[in-house]
Amino acid sequence: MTRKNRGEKLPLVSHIIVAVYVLILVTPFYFVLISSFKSNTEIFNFPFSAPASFGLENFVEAWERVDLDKALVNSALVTGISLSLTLFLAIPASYAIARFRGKAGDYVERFFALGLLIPSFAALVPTVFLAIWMGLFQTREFLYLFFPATALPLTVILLTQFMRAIPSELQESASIDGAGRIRILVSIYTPLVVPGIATVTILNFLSFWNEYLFSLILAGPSPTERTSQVALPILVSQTETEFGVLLAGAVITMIPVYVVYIILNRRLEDVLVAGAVKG
Amino acid sequence: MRARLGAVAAIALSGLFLGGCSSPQLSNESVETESSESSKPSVVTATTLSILSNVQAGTPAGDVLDAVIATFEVNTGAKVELVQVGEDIPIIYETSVAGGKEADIVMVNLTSNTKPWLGQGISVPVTDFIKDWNLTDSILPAAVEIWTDSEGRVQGFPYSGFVWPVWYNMELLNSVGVDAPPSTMLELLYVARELREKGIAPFVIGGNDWSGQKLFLQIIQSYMPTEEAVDVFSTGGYCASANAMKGINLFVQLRDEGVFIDDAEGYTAAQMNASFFEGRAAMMSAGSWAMGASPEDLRENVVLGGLPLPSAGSAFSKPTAYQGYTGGGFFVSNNGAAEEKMPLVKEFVSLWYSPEVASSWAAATNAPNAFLGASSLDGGITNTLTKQVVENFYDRVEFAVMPDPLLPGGMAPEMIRQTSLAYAPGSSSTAICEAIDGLY
Amino acid sequence: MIDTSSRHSLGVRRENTKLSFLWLPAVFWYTFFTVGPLLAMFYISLLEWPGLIAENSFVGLSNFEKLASDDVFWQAFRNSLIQIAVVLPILLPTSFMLGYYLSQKPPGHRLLRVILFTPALISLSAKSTMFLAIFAPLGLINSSLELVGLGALSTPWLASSSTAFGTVMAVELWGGIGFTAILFAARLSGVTPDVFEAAALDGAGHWKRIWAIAFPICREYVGVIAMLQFIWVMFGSAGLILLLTRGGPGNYSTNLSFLVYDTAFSQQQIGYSQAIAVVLFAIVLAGIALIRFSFRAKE
Repeated sequence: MTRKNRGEKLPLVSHIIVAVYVLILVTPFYFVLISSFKSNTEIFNFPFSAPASFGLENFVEAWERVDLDKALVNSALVTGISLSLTLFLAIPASYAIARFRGKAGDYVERFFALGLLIPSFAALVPTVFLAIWMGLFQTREFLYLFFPATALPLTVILLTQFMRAIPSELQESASIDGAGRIRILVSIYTPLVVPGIATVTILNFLSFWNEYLFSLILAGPSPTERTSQVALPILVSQTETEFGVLLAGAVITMIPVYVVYIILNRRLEDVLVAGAVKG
Repeated sequence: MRARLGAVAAIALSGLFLGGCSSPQLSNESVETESSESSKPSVVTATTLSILSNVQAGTPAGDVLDAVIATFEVNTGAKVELVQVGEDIPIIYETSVAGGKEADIVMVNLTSNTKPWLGQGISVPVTDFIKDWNLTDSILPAAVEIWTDSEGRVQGFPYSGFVWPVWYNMELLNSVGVDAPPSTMLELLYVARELREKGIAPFVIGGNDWSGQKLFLQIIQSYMPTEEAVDVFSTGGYCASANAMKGINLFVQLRDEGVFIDDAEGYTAAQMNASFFEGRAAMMSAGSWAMGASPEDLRENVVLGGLPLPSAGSAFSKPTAYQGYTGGGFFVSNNGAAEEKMPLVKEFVSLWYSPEVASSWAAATNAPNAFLGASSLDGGITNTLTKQVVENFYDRVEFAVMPDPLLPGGMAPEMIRQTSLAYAPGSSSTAICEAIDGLY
Repeated sequence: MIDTSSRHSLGVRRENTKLSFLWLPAVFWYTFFTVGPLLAMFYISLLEWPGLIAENSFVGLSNFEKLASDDVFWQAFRNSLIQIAVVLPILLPTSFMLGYYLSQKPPGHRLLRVILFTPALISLSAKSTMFLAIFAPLGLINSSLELVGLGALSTPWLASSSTAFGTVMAVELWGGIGFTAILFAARLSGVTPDVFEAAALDGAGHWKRIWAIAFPICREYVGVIAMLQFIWVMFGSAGLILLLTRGGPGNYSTNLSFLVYDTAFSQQQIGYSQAIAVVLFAIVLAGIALIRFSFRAKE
């Protein structure tokens, strides 16, 4: 069965408004892109004209000056491992909360919500001491452990929402079929909440990849440990920043996230389409 | 499950490994320091020296640092772990100290964030080192003076200096019939009017940040003798000081008569530089760090001078500018002061103050610095502006009191927010002085 | 957690117990790393602590007394409230509608999703460089105003006391609307199309479909997103403010979140900073309770 059109089309006005918003969204990004080809004087005096030359010097400089290759690897490691750990912990937890019948489930959910209330940099000082105590101060490894903990509240809460939306008949019919809980979780629930998983993956990927302060202090500034977000501001000094190089570096670090997002988006679309066809 | 055990094991192992990182290592390459007379057992020198620096890689200054490191490694057989960061050194250093893993040497400015280190015991005084390592003749006494705290202890080895003149674009000034930089405030007002008539912004300044704050404090010093300025900057009392108030009134007058570029309160230092370099404004107040970035064809038209004086009651006899030696210095941490590290620290610092490095640093930074004798090395300086500084700038100006070392710790960001407000039209002298007094 | 409640049947209880094993690892992990710091925040607010290495001393509630009489604190407090009152009511309905638009799969929606995502993608430092140039005295906004003859309106947006904070809020909305729309679209895509078709057959236009049908179905989810946005706005604006206005001019664009950062790192008063954080925590707690109450799914 093919998908039918949904009733009447969207009004023209809505298309226009969205187009205007898109323009507002894209303009600053355009600025970042063209500035990454310019020198300081050009950036400040002619901010929105096309660059005088499209040479890649700024990109090369950003890459070499701060060892961006090592930094990108570190970012990838930290983000990838933290993401995996987060999902590994959160999917069962959200399933359990959604399926639990009783007060304890609510309490656990609220306990996670509490985590959203911690203003992150207020936690910096105590976390430093924790890292020192664990002997992992100024290492990437501490971030592998720490980031999932910070992402759990949001991830669990969002995934629980998605888990709850799945009708309980599915669970019952599956257990009648003799499937164990873990089996049900893995083969039935998880595939059904892929939109939720995609959503939290993107949110977490973003927050891990772009995170600055904790990565700076906890993983440290050493070239072998630092992430890309920590590497870039090295190009900033009060008196001598070359903004073109800085922005070129920023563009380089944006590319992986874009790629991940586009892939996830695609997966999301595929699943939804498949779901509708199965209908 | 297995994956997690593996991860935990890896983490535990890495913890152990890192725990041992900062202790000295015995190896075939270690250098034994022998004391020929005493019967003390000789200390084995460490084989790594860690440096935390705000000198940027890939810049001429960064190249000088790389060269020194290379020579050092050849001379001593030890390795250097160089970590270069931008503006975040204070917080990185302090958290490192909390973890016992701080660098041996820190290359950073003397600011309200780094000054407290000596008092907190996380850096060591270098007073004796300068004497013992025969560096007294290599470092400018004026610079050492700045780096000496109130108890006579020298906080670090200074190497970077700056001057902070007023830049005059003579081409633009000539176009309104003025052929010399204004030397009195009345002349400045006149020049500003003429420039505006021609559609040229008179004085561009980064009102939004530290550059605007510095100019503000320079202007209000116009009537203040040195001791009074030192006193007021350190402890406050702007409203109470008649001379400071006269200075603030002067500032307000300059602002209201249009001397500053429109919307000055919205400019940052980088925007100010760009504006001046593009020829959009005729005057700006910027430090010698901007000389390297200035366009070459502009340099011929620029005369470096000072801030004009009020016609009556001025505390100075020549136009004023700033100078300082807080731009960069070596702090030595407790790790660096350990016996096994001292020879390495000594070697590195001594190398830095050698004549070759002094001249390459001068050429790389195109700015005044704290190396004694470097000014005689200006054969290496190609920047015409820096040459101006070295050759005749000092004769044209008198130096105002540089506020940074005097302001109480942590006050700078708040004060900058208040001076930014002062550049906006509408605030009165009393409002300004009260706001600043409120910070102390 | 062994379920011993007698209200549940044995089968349910056994089920519950097994389920609780599934959430234990997450709970433990999270407790170990985040609850400790949270408690520490409360303890540190009772100290006078001028810098990480400096000595600290117990001063009881004096940080809170100081807070109560600090003009800057109250200005920050007011600004935080203004932020919530302005940003949330604009952000949520707009992004919900945009999310609905997206879920209807208009032409080019794939590209649209990628574009809407861009602001969230850009790191803070790139974002701030961008907006510093856009709002600069001779930047994009002012130049465009000049171009269309509205030059009189041009002002240094980030440095003028009347516009600085508003500009920060505008930047938050700029990115937030698109990003939140994507979050809503994820949920809305899960709403079965039949519901909408039935409504369309009944003659309901899009507006009615959004607010009379989609919204009630997604009510609880909207509540969660509202809560999240509330938290992000209250806590998360410090970075943006730091890079755009540094709280200035004066203290006009300081809010509670920025003040916590500023007092800790720039002013070196860690104890005082945590006291402000405690107040912020209390406000957010109250706000969350309110939001959850308003958006509770109607059974």
